[in-house]
Amino acid sequence: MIHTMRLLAVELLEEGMKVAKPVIHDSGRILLAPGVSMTGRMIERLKGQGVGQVWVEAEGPDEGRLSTEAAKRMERTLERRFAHVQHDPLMQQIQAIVRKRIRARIGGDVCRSS
Amino acid sequence: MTPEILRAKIERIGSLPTLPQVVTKIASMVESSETSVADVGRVIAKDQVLSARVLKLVNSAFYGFSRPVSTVTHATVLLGFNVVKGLVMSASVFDLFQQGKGDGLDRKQLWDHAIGTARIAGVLARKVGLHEPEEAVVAGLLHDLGKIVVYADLPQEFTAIMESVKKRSLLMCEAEKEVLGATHAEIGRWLLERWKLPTKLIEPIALHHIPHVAREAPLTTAIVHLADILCIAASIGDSGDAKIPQLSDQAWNLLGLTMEQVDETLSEIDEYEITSAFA
Repeated sequence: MIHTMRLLAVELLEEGMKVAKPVIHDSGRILLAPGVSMTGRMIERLKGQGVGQVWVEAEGPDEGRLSTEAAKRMERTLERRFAHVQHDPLMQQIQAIVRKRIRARIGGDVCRSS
Repeated sequence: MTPEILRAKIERIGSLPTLPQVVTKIASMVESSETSVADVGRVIAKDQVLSARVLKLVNSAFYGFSRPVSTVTHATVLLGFNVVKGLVMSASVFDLFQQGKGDGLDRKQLWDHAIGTARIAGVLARKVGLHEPEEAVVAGLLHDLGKIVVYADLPQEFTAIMESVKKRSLLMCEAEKEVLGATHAEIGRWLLERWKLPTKLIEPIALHHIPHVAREAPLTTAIVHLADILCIAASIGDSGDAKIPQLSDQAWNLLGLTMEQVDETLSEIDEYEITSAFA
């Protein structure tokens, strides 16, 4: 399962959101560890300690995967974008890499940090 | 418009109220040898809106920090004066952008392109062993600064440029030369010189379309050049260009990367988070 993260201003944090990356004070002390589900008190404390933003885990559908149609559209865009550099071997290799990456995202696994 | 008139017009932006005083203040502080990192952090921290933006930029552009940067002082210690100065400028230019009236380009998309290029530049910089990878990141963030300025300040010209790009299939640089007599890269240079950024940060922005000309920072320039192209290839955001700019052989040879490393680079950045960095 792939999870994504979101960087949120402390003012936008809500109870129950999960910390995705450690929140560390300037002194080096860890204020919150990843995986912690935040309570109202924790959020208030972060504000008091001058923390600006926190990475939280984001839920929702996996945006990384593509339908076959969406992948085709992306490939067509790619072709249009590279149409004028078909004679250039380096540009051809870059296009091939991106094309491979689009195809790898159809339905199944996505190359992405988890 | 002659290039001289254009330049004078663009340079006036440096004194517009849209650029907060804090930028000027930091610019002068950085020049003094008595200024400490903490001093700069404190000046930025006083402006809460600005410091929130700077932190957001730090955490979204400098992808790959093992931990989030939560205070401006921490950011300054970690990244150094010039990079933070560049970040404050990015945050300020972004403000300028939000008030702009240009047409033909989605602001959010151009912003995503800036963040995407910055992140890719950071990953590439580490792969090629650049001494100060954060400079490549901030140069990536600011590389299209000139476009934002034209969009915000010369909306009619911007619209004309975008029309040429779409209807006549020109690169933005080519259309800008026709309409303005200068490219966004040159316009970026004028502003950054005025804001007294060091040459090693100006070159990668001013020469990102002609990296072989770089003398002082050829490697950082080559990195930003490639990062821009990869960001467009991977459809992260929208730079305004319908056609991809061509990779310079000289820049590629200088970097000494393999195509496998290019592929890895694209795996290492997370384009889905880039979108959430916009607010």
